[in-house]
Amino acid sequence: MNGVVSDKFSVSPMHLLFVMYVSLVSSGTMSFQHDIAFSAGHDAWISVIIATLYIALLVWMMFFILNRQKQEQAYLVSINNRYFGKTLGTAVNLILILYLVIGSFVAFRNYLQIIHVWVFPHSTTWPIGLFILLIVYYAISGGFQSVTGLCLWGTISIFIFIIPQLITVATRLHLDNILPVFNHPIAEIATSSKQMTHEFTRCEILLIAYPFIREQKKAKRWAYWAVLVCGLLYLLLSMYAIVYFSQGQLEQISWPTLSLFSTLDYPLMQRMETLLITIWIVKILAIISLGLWAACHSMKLTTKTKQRTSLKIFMGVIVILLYFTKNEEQAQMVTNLYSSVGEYVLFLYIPLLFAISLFMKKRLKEE
Amino acid sequence: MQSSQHELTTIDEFLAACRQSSDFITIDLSFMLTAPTTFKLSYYKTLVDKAKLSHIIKSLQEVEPSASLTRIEELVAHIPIDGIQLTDEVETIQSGVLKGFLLVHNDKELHLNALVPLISKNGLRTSNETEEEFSVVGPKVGFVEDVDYNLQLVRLQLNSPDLIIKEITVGTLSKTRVSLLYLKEAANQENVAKIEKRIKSLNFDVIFDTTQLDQLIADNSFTPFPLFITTERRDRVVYSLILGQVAVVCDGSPYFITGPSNLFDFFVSPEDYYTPWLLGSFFRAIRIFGVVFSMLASAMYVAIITFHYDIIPKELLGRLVYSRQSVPFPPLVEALFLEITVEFLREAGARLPSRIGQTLGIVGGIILGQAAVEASLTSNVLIIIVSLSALASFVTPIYKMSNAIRFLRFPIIFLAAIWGSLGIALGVTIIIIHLSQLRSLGYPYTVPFFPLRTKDLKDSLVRSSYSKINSRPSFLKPATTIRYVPKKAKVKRDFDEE
Repeated sequence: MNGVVSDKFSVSPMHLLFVMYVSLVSSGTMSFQHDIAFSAGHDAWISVIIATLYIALLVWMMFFILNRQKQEQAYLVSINNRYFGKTLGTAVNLILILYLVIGSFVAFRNYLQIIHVWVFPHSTTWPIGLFILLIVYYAISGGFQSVTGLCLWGTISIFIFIIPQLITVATRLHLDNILPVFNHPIAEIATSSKQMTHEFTRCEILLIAYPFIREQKKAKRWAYWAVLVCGLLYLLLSMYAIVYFSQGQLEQISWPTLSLFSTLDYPLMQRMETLLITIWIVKILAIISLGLWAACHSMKLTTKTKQRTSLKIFMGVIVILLYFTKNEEQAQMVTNLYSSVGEYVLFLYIPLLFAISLFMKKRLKEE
Repeated sequence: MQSSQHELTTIDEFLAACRQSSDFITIDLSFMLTAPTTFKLSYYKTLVDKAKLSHIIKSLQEVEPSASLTRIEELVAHIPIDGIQLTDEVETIQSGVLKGFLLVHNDKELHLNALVPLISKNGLRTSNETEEEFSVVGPKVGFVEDVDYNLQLVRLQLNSPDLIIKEITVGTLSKTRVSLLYLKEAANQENVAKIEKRIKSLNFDVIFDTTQLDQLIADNSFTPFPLFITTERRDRVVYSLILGQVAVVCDGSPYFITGPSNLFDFFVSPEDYYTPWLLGSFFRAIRIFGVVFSMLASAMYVAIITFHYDIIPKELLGRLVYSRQSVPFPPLVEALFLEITVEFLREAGARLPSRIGQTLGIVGGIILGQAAVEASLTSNVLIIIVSLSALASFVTPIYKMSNAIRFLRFPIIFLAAIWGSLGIALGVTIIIIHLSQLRSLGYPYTVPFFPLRTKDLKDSLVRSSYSKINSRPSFLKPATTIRYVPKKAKVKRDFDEE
C-alpha cells in the first residue's frame, strides 16, 4: 500500500484535532492529579504545563520527521524501515505495535476498574468488557473514517458535558490552596512532569494516522490545537483538584476528577460522576479503537497481515490480558509497565528519530 | 436471463396474444372513397380515454369525400391529436398499446403502424393536498399518483430550462416510468450519473412505489435509517433540487425521493423556511431534542429504577417508589409492556380508517392507560414517560425517520436493563458508529458534523437567516455554489446616528 490514501478513506485536516485529542487524553484524566500531586504537591499544575510544552515539542519533532520523508512514505512503518534497516526496523515496528495494543488494553482496563469501583461494585465487569470489545471491533471494521467519527463524537460529548460542570464547581474552590507558588524543588517538579507525560504516551499515533489526512500542510495547525486544548483541559482539571481538595485528600483519593464531580447535585440529578462515567464511555471506545486501528494498520504495513485477522488476534490478546489482571494490583502492574515503556518512546525513541532525520538531511546535502 | 414472457416477433402475433383478453378491441373503419380501404383501430378499452376515442372517430367520419385516404400516413393527418408515432417496431407498439395508445394498422401496410396516445387518467386521485407531511404555514401542494402531473407541478415552480428530467423504464412486468430530476446548474453530474446507473442496473418485476426504489438503490440495506428523503411535498422537492440534490419519482407513486441526503435533512421541515429564522431554528432544535428524548426516555426510566436510583433526588425517588410499589414486574417488563402497547396503537391506528382510528386513540390511550395503572400493571410515571416519548417520536417531519427512532428504542431499553446508564451509552455509541459508517449515494450520512464541514453548519441544527444561507451546501459538491446574492449587510451605525 504505497502512496497517500485515497479520498474514500481519508479525512480532512481538521479531523486531526479530534484524532490527536483522543490520543492525548486517555483514561488517566480521572486520576492523574493523584499521581502528579505525590511529588509536586500543590505545584503540580506547573508540571502539567511543562509536560504539555514537551508534548508540543514532540509534535513539532514528529512533523519534522514526517516532512523529511517522501510524501507517500511519510508513515511510521516506512520511517522505521528506512532509518533502522529492514530487520531492526521490523523489530521496532512489532514492538511499537505491541505497545499500541497494550496501550489500548490499559485504557480499557482502567475504565473497567472505574466501572467496578463507581458504578457496579457488586458485579463482575467482564461481560460489559466483552461487549465493549465487540463495539470496538465494529468501529474499527469501518476503517479510519469510522474511528475518526468516534473520536469526534467522543471529543464533543465530553466537552459539552464537562465545561458546565466546571463552571458550577467554580464557586466552591479554595483558591488559596495554590499558594505559595514554586514551593517545591525543581527535582520534584521534574518527577511530577515525568509522571504527567504518562498521559501522553499515545502521541505517536500521529505518525501512523498522518497518511490518512488530506491536505497535509494544513494539518499541523490542528495537531497543535489539539495539544493546546488537552493542555488546557489537564491544567484546569489539575488546578481544580488542587484548589478543591487538600494535599492530604489528594494523596488519598484515587480518582480526583470523579470525586470532584460526585459532590455536584442538580434539582433533577445527583451523582454527576455516574453521568460523567457514562458519557466518558464514548471517549474510551474512541481511545481503544484508535489504538487498535493504529496497531492493525501498522501490522498490515509490516507483515502484510490482513487487518481483520490481526484485529481478531489483538482482541484475543486483550481478552487474555483481561483474564490475567483480575485485581487492581495486577492491572496497576500492567499500567506501570506500559508507562515505563511509554517513557522510552517519549524521551528516547521520538527524539532519536528526530536526530536521525536531522542527520539524514545533512548527509543528503553532502552528497 | 430467463424471461417469463416469450418474445413476440410480429405484429400479428402480438395482436393475437392481446385478443385473448376480453378488453382488447379491434374495430374496422372503411372508407369507400377513391379506393376501398379498411383501417383497423386496436386498443384496450380499459386503458384508453373514451371521449377522445369517439372524438377521433367522429372527426374521421367527417373527412371530406374528395380526400385521398389509402395510406396510414394520410389517415393520421386527419386525427386531431398530438404525439402520434409512426413505427414498425413490435416492441414500441407493444409497450404503447399496453399503456393506452391506440394502434392504427391495416392489412396492406404491415410495416407501418401509427400509435395514437389516448391514455386515460381515470381512477387516479386528483386531490393533491399533502396527506402525510402537514404544515401550518406555507403551501399545501402535494403530489398524486400520476407522474406527468407531478412533473408538471415541479416544473411550474422551477421555471428554468436548467431543470432536466431524464426518464428510465424499470420493471420487467410493470415497465414503470421512473423520472430523474436535477437542476443542471446545481447538481453534481457525478451524483446524477451514479443514481442513473443504479436505477438502470435494477432488475425487478413490479415497482409499486418510489419508496421501493429507495431501498433498491440505497447504499446499505442493513440499517434502520432511511438513506433518502421521501417526500410528498412539492416545496421540499424543489428545495432539494436547488440545493443540488437529485430527485427520483416513479409513475404511480405520490412520493419523490431526494438524495444524497444526510441525517439532519430528516429534521428539516419546509416550514422552517417560512417562519423567521429564530423560530425556525428553535423548532428544529425542539425536533432534535424530541428525537433524543424519545429514544432514551423509557430506557432511562428502566436504568434508573433498576440500577441508579441514587442519581435522582430523594423527593422524586419517593414519588417513583410510591407509584411503582404495587407493580409486580421488573422495570424492563413494565416498560416493554407499555412500549409494545403504544406500538399496537400506532400500527392499528395507521391501518384503520381515520374515523375508527380516533375511537381507537381514545380507547387505547385513555382507557387502557388508566386501567393499566389501576390494575397496577404499570406505574403512572412510566405511562407519562412512554406517552411523551411516543409523542416525541412523531416530531420528525419524515415518517420513515420516526419509524427508525421507534425501532431503535427497543434494543436500548434492553441494554439499559442489563447495564443501566452504561448500557444506554453503549447503545448510543453503536448508533453513532453505525451512523458514521453510513453513506447516502456515497456521501457520509452525518455530514456536516462528521466529517466536520464548518461552513455548512449554518443550516443544519439551526436555520440561519436568508442572507447567510445563500450558498449550496459544500458537502454536496455542487456545480455552482452560490444560490443568490444577498443584499449587502448594513453598515453598523452607532446609536442615534444615521
